[in-house]
Amino acid sequence: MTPATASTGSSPFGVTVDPSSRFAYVPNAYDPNNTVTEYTLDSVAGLLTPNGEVTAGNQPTSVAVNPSSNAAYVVNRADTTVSEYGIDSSGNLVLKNKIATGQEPFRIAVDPSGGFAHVANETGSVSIYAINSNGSLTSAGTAITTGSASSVAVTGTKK
Amino acid sequence: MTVDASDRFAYVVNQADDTVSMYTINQCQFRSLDADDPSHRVNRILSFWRHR
Repeated sequence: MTPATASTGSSPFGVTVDPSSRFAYVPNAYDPNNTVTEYTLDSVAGLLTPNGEVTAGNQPTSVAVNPSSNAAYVVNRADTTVSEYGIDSSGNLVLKNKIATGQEPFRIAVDPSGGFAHVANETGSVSIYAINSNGSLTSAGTAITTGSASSVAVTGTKK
Repeated sequence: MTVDASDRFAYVVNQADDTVSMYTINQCQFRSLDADDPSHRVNRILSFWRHR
């Protein structure tokens, strides 16, 4: 038998489960409408149920959820931005703002305390953002890497 | 692949068919949520990561 599956948009690039395990999000990188598919997560059975979709920027490739402020972030590779969203009580994303990244951004990670976000840019840098109390991002500098940065992870402890 | 916060479920995106597959995690082994033996699929996934 094949595993249980749920549909995504076109060319999904990874799945992100929010820290409360109530919702999940899939960026559809080559979807003509540049969407992120939203899911509810049954915490008992583990099943994902489609819960709508939201439009991101051009070519969304990665989603991160802030563990402390009901905010989510989507990397838009082709327009070199991160879209900032609020998360409503149903798990749907509500666009609030966009902020610039380096060239060819690919993945985003939020540290477990919810204080910072980091975007790996495949041209060889990491964009660093401070996360404000309302979940919005403020640029906090750039770190240069020695090669093409395609992924990033942050260690730490939860608040 | 992503694991939920409870470490009981795992999710794998399948780019070729535009789906996300769902698994339970049983003592570090994956078991498809509705399959008797999904090992062939898991092996394929692990091979993908080894060759990245």
